[in-house]
Amino acid sequence: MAKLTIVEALNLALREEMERDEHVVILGEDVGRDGGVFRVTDGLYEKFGENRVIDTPLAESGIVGTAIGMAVYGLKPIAEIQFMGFMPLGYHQIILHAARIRNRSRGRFTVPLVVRMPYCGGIKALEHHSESIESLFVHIPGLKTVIPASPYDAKGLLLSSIRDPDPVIFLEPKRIYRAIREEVPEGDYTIPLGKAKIVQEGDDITLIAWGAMVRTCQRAAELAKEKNINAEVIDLRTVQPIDAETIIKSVEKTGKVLVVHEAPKTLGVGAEIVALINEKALLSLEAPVERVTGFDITVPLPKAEHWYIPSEKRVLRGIQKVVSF
Amino acid sequence: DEKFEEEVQKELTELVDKAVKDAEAVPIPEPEEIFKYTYAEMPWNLEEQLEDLKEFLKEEE
Repeated sequence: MAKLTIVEALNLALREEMERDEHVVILGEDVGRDGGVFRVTDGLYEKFGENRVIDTPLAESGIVGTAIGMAVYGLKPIAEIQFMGFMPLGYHQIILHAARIRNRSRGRFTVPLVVRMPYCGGIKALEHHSESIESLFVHIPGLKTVIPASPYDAKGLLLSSIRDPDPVIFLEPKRIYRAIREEVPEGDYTIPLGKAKIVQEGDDITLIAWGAMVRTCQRAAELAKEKNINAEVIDLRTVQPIDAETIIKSVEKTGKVLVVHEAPKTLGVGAEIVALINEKALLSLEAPVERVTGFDITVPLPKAEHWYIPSEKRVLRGIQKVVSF
Repeated sequence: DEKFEEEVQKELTELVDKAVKDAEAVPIPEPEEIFKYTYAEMPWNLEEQLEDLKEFLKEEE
């Protein structure tokens, strides 16, 4: 079986689904003739033609708005926003229309749309290329938000997202686009939305993360093992809806929790997780839930970016703080 | 004409290369630098996070 990167897994998913379902179309900046700036749509224009892989003008509002219209009229559009930093120009369309049309029409019109975009930092980029503002989607009723952390999951989650009847925001952790290779089957398989994965089991503390932070947590867990702390690592995979059941079960087992995310601390998805645990499992906690996150600042430029993004050492420090409460 | 274009190209490439070298030689800033221009006056949450970062960096030494 071929070992693929996240980029290759996404490309495979798109190609297979477009073969399977003629309603699936792709649109975005540079997705067609250029194959996408990260190569996710490589080769699709050649295979499926300009009516199904559409190079759009540089206009995020138009890209999303057009995709919404396509979805309402029966297509399955996958709109690409080139970087999450460009998304705000299309945010109006996403939150005021895509998220609401089912409700507005009492179910007569629906928006089975996927908006995919590379997100997160760590690539020493200029401004607008390192955002982690997934909270802005999680906070909006009517949207689902999915974040894969590995190639196998990326394909399975993307296929589920394309087939989902609701608008799905699909965030791709660009820092690890090519950092992981693993076996990704050809052919149909899906991973359900709203279901987290226990990446490794442990009894002493629960680490909760998504995207590029999952591997960071695994490395921190290795460091913690040397100090006799066995960490359970949960990859959320979907941040809206959150798999509260898996989280609570783990909390009841370990009694100690650390949430790790790149996004700024205030109102990051970690805040929602802490609130959930507070409501559903307070008496299982042996220590306050801590968060290791980005700071409440704009993502720094390259020289200082490494301070901002949670490192395995910073995560280990968080683990030790919780465990020694 | 071609010769003029070649000269300009060469001159500009040298200019850009030097600018890149100078930019990359800029030292890593103090931790305050990435916090202090977020607001006119740092609210408590930024101050708290800055203190925590400074403590973490000290622990790492």
